[in-house]
Amino acid sequence: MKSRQSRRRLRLITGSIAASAAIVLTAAVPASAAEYSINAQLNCAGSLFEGDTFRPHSAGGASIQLTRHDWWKDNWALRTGLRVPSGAQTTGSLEFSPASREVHRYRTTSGNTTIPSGSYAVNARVNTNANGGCVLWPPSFEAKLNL
Amino acid sequence: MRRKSLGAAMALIGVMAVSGCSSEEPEARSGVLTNAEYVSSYQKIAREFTQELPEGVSLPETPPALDGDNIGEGNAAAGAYFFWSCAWQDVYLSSADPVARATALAELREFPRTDWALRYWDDPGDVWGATLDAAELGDLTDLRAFYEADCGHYRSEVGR
Repeated sequence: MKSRQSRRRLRLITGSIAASAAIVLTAAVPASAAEYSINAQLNCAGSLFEGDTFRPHSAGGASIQLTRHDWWKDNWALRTGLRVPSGAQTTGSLEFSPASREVHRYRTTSGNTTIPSGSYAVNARVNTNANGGCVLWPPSFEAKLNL
Repeated sequence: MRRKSLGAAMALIGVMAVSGCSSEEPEARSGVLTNAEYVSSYQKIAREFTQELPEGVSLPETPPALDGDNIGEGNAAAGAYFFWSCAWQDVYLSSADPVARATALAELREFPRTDWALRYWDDPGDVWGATLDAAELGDLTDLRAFYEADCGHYRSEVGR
């Protein structure tokens, strides 16, 4: 147990150094054809992170459900959207508490919950609510992404 | 003793941070780029790009515009590989020549096997393959939808 804690601490430290003012990303392990486990470390000052793993989506809805969060201040929120290869975020931004374990559905910028077919990567940032700066390590989250 | 352990840990961390390796998360990618690095990385990739483009098409000088300085490193190559894919999607969707369409389809089927896709394309259900299968059988609905969603940068560069 102690060994696991040590490894985790080491990983977090590594993340904070590699991120220095920025971010570390994300491994993706699909649980099914359309559900992916994602994780990310975000910038403590609230800078946008533009993920680089693209996933095809064949119409229907898209959602994100957080399963874990670490090193977030109480009044911070996660803001996330989906981006196509041309660089445009084609969904509106979802913003919610990282403590939420609800399913949050992405919507197009016109409010539609049907997301067009296409290839999508995740945009994510912390809304620091004018209270930036790390708690100790960069804030991180794990989530299920459904496309 | 504790200080000695901390020193050893910091040395190890230094190595890991530089190499980007983690025995715990072999798939994890820690690289982020500033906007300037993103553009220069794309330009280097574009100069060395080996995938064949349709006749008369070349990669643009600049990648799709992205905001900020926390850009996942795979986005630089994504700009080139999606442009390449979009060029062949365009051929497939617009050409009446069966030879040209067969060439385009073969190129599009290569997409998931490219160096970029092997690291940054996540499609365990083979949605892309199913889209191409449907197109080959005459149903272009999904391929057109992908072209519409994915190829804004290509269309603006070639004026389509």
